[in-house]
Amino acid sequence: MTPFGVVQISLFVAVLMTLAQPLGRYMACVYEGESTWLTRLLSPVERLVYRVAGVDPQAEQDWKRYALAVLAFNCVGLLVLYLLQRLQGSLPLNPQGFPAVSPDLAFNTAVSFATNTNWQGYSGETTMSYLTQALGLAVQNFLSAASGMAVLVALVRGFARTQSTSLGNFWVDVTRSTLYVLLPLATLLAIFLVGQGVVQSFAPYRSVALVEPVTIEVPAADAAGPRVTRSQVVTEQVIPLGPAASQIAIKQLGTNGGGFFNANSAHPLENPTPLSNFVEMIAILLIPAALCHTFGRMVGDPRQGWAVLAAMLVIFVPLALGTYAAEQAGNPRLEAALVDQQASAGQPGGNMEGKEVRFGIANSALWAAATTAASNGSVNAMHGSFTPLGGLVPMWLMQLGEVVFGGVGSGLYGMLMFAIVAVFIAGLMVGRTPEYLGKKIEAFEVQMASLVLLIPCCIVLLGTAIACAVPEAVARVGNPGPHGFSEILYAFSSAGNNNGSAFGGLSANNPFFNFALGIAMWISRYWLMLPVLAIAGSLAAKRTVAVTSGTLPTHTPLFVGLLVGVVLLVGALTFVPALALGPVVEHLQMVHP
Amino acid sequence: MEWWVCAVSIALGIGTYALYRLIDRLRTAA
Repeated sequence: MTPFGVVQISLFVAVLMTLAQPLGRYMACVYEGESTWLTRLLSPVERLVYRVAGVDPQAEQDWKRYALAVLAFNCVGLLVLYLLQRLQGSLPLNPQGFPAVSPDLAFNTAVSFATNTNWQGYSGETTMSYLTQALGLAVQNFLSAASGMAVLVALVRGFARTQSTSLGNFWVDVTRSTLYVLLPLATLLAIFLVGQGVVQSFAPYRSVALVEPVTIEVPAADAAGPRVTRSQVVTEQVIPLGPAASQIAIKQLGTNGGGFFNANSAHPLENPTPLSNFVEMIAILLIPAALCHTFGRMVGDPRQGWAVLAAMLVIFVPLALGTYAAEQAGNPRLEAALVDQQASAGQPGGNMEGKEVRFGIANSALWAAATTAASNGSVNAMHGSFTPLGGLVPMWLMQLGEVVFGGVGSGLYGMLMFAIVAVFIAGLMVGRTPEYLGKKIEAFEVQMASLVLLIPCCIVLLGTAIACAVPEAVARVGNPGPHGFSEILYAFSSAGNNNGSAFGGLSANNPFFNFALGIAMWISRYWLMLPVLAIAGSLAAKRTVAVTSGTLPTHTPLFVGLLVGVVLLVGALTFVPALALGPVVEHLQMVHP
Repeated sequence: MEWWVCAVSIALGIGTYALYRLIDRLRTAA
């Protein structure tokens, strides 16, 4: 690691923590219906939305009505997005004349964007019309993020309320999340990105003459064999355009991650400068970090929010530094071949394969950690080209359940499930009824929290095992041996935890992966929201018990340590055997050829 | 292929509703 790289990572954490607290306070005001500095401007719009949608904002919902509203809202969004893709050939704003997306890919993409996963089995610039991108994908970026935030707020109300049957109103929470949080932040970020050089246009793609023509080898049309090629001089390049800045802003803030272009945030028209890179990285973790403060304020004890945030940081920072160290160390096989991998004034050193020169090692490693800690999934470097241990860390961060910051809303409600399990384990150790935030944790809460913890693990491991047994799936792997296994494990870790990033190498646009990953994304989103909302309903109905000398304080370093231990132990016990077959074997092959 | 999309979507919908009912039963029993 270089001192400059460590300084950049430290600066990133400092800026993130500085911005998270005021935003968290602001969001608490938004969800508690208090006046904010945007209320005068946006409350007429909010009232109009309720009137048009026929929503009574005063009507409260119990957990079942809240859950059904979440599911109905997401199903409608999914169906609209599917139809947009299937009909895009006949719809406007399609200057490139793209045909309809195939049914299996449209299903995969619709589930992917409705569940806030944003796994992409397609190349944006060669598959999706501007209408599909702007009206389908970008809109789902807002709504799926707002759905996750709404479910979190319902859970927090479950902790905060006493002997109540209601959790708030989903339609109000999703409207307020979109209107008061996501839209203003996304507007600011989109304007900033346009200033940095990100494109925002509905004009057709442009062809430009190359300054220096290049000669490439292409398959010969009349060749007898498949490996025969001929030389072709290329003098023109097509520059893809589109309404990218507006989509990229929300893809980062909403932890969506789906790129406008195929190369995602490595593309110079999505992420042109080191400054845009830094701000986009902040945007990835900003709302998940801020929601910890929102949680603390809404339960009436800001220290509780700090404790959860501290647990996230304790896991995130060492793993980010671990990725950085592995990438900066480079490949010992290249060192043996006398390749200079030392950082110097003229080169970043280390493993630069698959990384952008304008970002270097530290910013590529930090992005990889941030995008997989949050369930974002956008990439500014190709994770499949990382060193085996450098690639292991992003994969494990997803496998931890996307609770280290995690998705907007979903990350924190996942972490609160771990907190419930942690106080349950502590209760077992000292022989007292476990409590969290003044609510007794009983059998039902532990059953539901266990479901939330175990469902993604089952999805990832079963999905990987099935794919490894299906010849059609194995044939789509780009590399043999342990790296190929890592490609499949990474894909199911990504879909099974609603992340959306890809390892590269795996050609996932085929019926098997489109359906298998689509099913994984659906289950890991909605089958977790249901038990979370059921816990919220159960907690809201309970009375708050008084703090006694036997109560385990949940704002102390001891509890932070316990919470971190539970997250890491569950993640390690579940996934180390699978990781041993992929990145660990590949690492051993690299250091002991 | 469109039929496969319909079949998978319906299966996911039924599975999700079954989980909802199961959780509701457990909640009532608790």
